[in-house]
Amino acid sequence: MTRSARVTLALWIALLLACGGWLFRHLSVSTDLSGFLPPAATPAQEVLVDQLRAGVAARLMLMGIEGADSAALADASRRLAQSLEASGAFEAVANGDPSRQSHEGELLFALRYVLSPGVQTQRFSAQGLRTALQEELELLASPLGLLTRRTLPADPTGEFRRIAAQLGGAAVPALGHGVWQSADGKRALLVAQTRAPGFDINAQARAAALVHARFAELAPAGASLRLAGPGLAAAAARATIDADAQRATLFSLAGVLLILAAVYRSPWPVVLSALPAASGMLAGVTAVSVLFGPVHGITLAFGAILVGEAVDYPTYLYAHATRGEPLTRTAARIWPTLALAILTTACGALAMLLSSFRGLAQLGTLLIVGIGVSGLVVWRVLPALTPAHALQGKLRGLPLAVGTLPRLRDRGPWLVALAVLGAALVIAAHRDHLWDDDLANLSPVPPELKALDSELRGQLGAPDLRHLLAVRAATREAALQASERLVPLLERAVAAGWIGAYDMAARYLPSRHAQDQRRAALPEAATLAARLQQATQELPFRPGVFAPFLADVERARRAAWLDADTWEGTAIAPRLESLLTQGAQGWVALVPLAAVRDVEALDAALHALGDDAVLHIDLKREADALVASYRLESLRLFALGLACIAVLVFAGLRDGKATLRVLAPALAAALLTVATLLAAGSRLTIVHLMALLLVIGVGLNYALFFNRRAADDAERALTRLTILAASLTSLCAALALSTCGTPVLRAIGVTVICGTLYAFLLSALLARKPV
Amino acid sequence: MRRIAVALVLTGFCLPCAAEEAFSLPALMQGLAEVPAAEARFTEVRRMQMLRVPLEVQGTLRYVRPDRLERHVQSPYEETILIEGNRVSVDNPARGEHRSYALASLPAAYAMVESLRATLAGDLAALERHYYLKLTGGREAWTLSLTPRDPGVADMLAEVRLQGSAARIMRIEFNEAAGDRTIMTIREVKP
Repeated sequence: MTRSARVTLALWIALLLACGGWLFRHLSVSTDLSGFLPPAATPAQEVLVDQLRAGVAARLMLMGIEGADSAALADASRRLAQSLEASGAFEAVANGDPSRQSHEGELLFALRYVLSPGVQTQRFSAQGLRTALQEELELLASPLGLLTRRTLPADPTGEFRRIAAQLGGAAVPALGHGVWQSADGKRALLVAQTRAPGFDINAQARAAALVHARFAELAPAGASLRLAGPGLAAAAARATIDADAQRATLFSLAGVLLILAAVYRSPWPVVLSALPAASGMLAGVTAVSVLFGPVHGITLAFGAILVGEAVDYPTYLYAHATRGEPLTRTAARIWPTLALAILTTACGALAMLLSSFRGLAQLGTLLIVGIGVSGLVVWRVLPALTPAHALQGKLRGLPLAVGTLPRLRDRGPWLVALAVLGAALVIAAHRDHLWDDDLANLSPVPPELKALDSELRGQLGAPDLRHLLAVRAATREAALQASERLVPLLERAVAAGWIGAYDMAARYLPSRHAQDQRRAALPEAATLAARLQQATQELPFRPGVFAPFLADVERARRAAWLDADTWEGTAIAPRLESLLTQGAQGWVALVPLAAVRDVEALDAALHALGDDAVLHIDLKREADALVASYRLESLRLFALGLACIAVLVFAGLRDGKATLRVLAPALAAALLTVATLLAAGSRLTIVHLMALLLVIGVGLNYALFFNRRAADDAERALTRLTILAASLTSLCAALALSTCGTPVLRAIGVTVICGTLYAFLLSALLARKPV
Repeated sequence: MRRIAVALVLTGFCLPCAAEEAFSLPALMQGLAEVPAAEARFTEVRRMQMLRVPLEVQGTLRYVRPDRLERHVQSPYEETILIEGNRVSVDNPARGEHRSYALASLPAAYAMVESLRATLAGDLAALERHYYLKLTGGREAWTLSLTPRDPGVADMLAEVRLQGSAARIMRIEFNEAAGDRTIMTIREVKP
């Protein structure tokens, strides 16, 4: 072994040790999906993304009990709620049971004079009281006045009804046997809020297991429990990604080893071929860990592609080694082509590297660093490590004759032109539905779980959040006051039918200013008694009926300020928490709008208000804008990657014609791949675009090697073998990915399979010399 | 034997093989189910502990098979309560109130609505979902007594008692748990 070889080996081992050491200390794997969703572009979106990740919404668990009659379901619902509440794993469990909500109802009733917007000076004058009581008389006569009758003596002005109407909103789940049930009575519904944050996947999975265990103890015969919610979705996604990472890596490794064993018919080259890929993987994962912190599970699974690509490089080296030639010389001979191949692949991964999706940037980093290190190992380390006799048994050509290919090849350019024309036609036919705009389709949450989630949400009457007003302010009081200033506008919007309903934190926690005003509107005891006396003179109420009213008003006048912790332990606490949040830049009060029918009128009214702190967020509009901007970004990156590849190939070949000849099959393969995907019913996503560029980069490798000037028939046969082996290993890796449950990986796998097949065929058809 | 069958019917049991002139729940329901639509004037008198005098309202009731019931109060104020399917909407022009609720969200009101609507529909299953049933009397003068099954509803509503003749309901009495009582008398209007 030469001195320089020893130095190289030492450097290589040092690199591996350094990487290993770093990973041992720092490696952490995440399955948080936000890296594969678009990053938030505006402060308002940031608030929302934070809410989705850590807020109350992320801690909700939706439960459905089914498979028994309505009464048995209701009984199971009650007992499950009780059992879960006692377990301590949940902050709140709701199942619609009025007895469970009584605490909340009592609080709302006790606080009615500070919560109700109806508390105004005029309302408590003799005339105001008389009007109110006359209304109450009508309600008493109505069959719907059943509940009112109980509260009337303490609440003759109907403040509690006003609050209840606000809180109830339009959508309330149906009640069956006293608990929430689906309209057909076949499913009892519960909502629980975990104590653990939504992003703590382990805790979420434990909470779900606890629910199942408790349910098993009390389940009526034949009944089953179904769970959904963001925490469960995250847990399911993690399970999918973990399984994918393991399977993809093992499957591709095993397949690749088999192919290599068939080619070399000796263990040594097979083992040695794995070295560059393994080194590349190690270095790539280290680079991701250094640059990004936690390494994503999807990134690890994507390593399959790296393995499939990196094992091709030793194949190029070993296959081109002629009898008696020292491997160092072979390495030097093929290095320019190999270097070009590595660089084009790296360019193919460039678009991923530069993407603003952090997840995709991780994939790009892994591939570029991994490929680079693998190439260097093939160039300098493998020749030094490979024993002289190792390659004796290798195949020197394909064991089967590819007789039809040369004949087809004569008409190759025509066939390719025809195929490209066909592909162009297919793409043109699909031009209106080329893109998949729904980013949710990239999420690895199983579709059944997503469907169950939306079904349960629908039955629970949870509004589909699309329109929100975000009110920003420096302090909580200011945020509350600012949202209270919106109330007249919002009431006008409801009256005019622009929106169906709205909700805001100030309903549960009025600003101190509003609380003071309401208290000031309540007359002192003697005055109120006199006015009530006057108001009831001509009304049929028995004397003394309203004594509770007089006492409650007096109590409200003297009560302390209502605060957020008043609601602790009730269903209002999480609602308040989600509507009023403290962000990095102060407080944000959210005003969700339901059933928005006239966005323009609403926007015009908001504009006329002229308050910069109030922001109307249309989530669909924001998401559409995001998708469009990311598509544009990906197209730009795609073009950039393509340009880099073209420049690189031209620089390497220094021949315009040859460059075209090398680029043509790769580009045609990309076009055919797109056409195939579209024809198969897929729509293109950002991930497809990235994978396509990767295909072009890899496809170029074949074209480069097919177009190498071959000395004789023996070398041509060799080339054929090399490329076949390389294609097979790439295919093997892509196949492993295409079986994944994670849509991102599946999209990459399918695209690479199509692309590799086409690239191989087209390179052969368009090659300069018969191969 | 015949005497026993009659006795069973009178105490609310019904035998499928009941003698012809005995009047059974299914027979009552079948008769009611044959009425496609009905319109009537009603007077409702409600006696309440907190009021010195009873409240009296008058108006019209309109029923259209299978599940539409409209209660239109005309005096002493205007109010329309429309029940259709599983929703109830209240329309009171004087108060400017137009609201719509899911019936299921108001269990007691739901039970009260069904006592009339399901009876008009001749829907025995719907009635039995909400109440324990007891039928007394004969075809020409029957009394159907309903006691709520749901304990939450029973807390407010003790009993509903319907009286009628053949396929006509003539009087409904709502006895609330708190002691208040509402009596609705119905005079059918020929369509």
